[in-house]
Amino acid sequence: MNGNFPVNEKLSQLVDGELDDFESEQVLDALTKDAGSQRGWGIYHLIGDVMRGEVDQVGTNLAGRIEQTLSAEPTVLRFPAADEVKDENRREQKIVKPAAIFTIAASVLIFAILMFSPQDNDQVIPDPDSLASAPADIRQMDALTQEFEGMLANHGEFTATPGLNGLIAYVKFVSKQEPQIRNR
Amino acid sequence: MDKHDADLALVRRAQSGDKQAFNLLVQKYQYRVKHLVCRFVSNQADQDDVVQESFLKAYRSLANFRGDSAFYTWLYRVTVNTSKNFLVSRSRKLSSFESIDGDSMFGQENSTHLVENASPEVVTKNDRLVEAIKQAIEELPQELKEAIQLREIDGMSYEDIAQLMKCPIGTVRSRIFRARESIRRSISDHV
Repeated sequence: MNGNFPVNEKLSQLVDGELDDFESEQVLDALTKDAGSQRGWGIYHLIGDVMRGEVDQVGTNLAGRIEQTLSAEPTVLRFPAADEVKDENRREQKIVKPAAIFTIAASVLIFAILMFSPQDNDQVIPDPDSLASAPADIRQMDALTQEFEGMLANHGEFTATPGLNGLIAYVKFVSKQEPQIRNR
Repeated sequence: MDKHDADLALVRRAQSGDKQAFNLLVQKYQYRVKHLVCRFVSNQADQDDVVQESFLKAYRSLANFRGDSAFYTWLYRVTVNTSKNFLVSRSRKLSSFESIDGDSMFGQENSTHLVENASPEVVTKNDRLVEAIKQAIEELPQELKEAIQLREIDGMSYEDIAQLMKCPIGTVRSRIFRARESIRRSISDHV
């Protein structure tokens, strides 16, 4: 048997646990299908075992004979338990929800800055009582804001989320949940 | 970024019906398991039997592995139990040897007995393989040898090795890969 097989640096990193999830899965996909890479995997691990003094004797293709015996075994199948699936979803939500909230909050902040940014440094945002006597451009901005809020409320496509005030109440949150089928 | 647990990924694939994924775990841990079995069983042929039986038992009960512990920790327990069961089984046979004839001692084991013991020539060849690996490691250039020793013996991460050797992580990655490839080429006549 010659030593030629398509090993590469990625396989070496996989052996050391130095790849991220995505790359690891890619290399594992190739590894489970390619006999040459599998020999490389075996040799890389043998090298480490010899260095650590964990090899008494290499033996006569023990792995090959185990593989042959396993081929006659009924295939093991395991379906993850419901609590394991929930844990997985919860872990994903922990990443998605804060990111979604941050993105939405940032968008709202930018909108607020654009809508409510003062014309000059000395301008003070007036209270409602003084709106009647406020300059025309401020009255116009306030009217636009009210119209926008009314549009959000009237369309009814967004549901106010309890506990949240202001425009955020009308913003749709995205999370990794099962889609709800609307009855027509 | 969390490092990927290749063992757990292979176990999940095996649990989904991919036997080749389990074979990769066998290739990874066969020598470590045998090293463990050697503490209980002295006979070479019996050692291989117990190793095989340990992996078979692990595969058969793989559906029960949830990943709460590391895979090797779980495999270690399976191997120790299998080794102890073998010793108990053998001691029972030895104690009843005088009351039964020799023929009935065979064919009652749970394990699939490996076909034959290794011939002396094969054993010698495999000892030479281990020696060839050790020799190849000694002949590595110093920076490659140091990198792979820090990784394999001291179990350091690439990042820690890079700090220790005062070089970029990419250089560490490359040195370890080149060390492995150099050793692999040196032993190509023995495999």
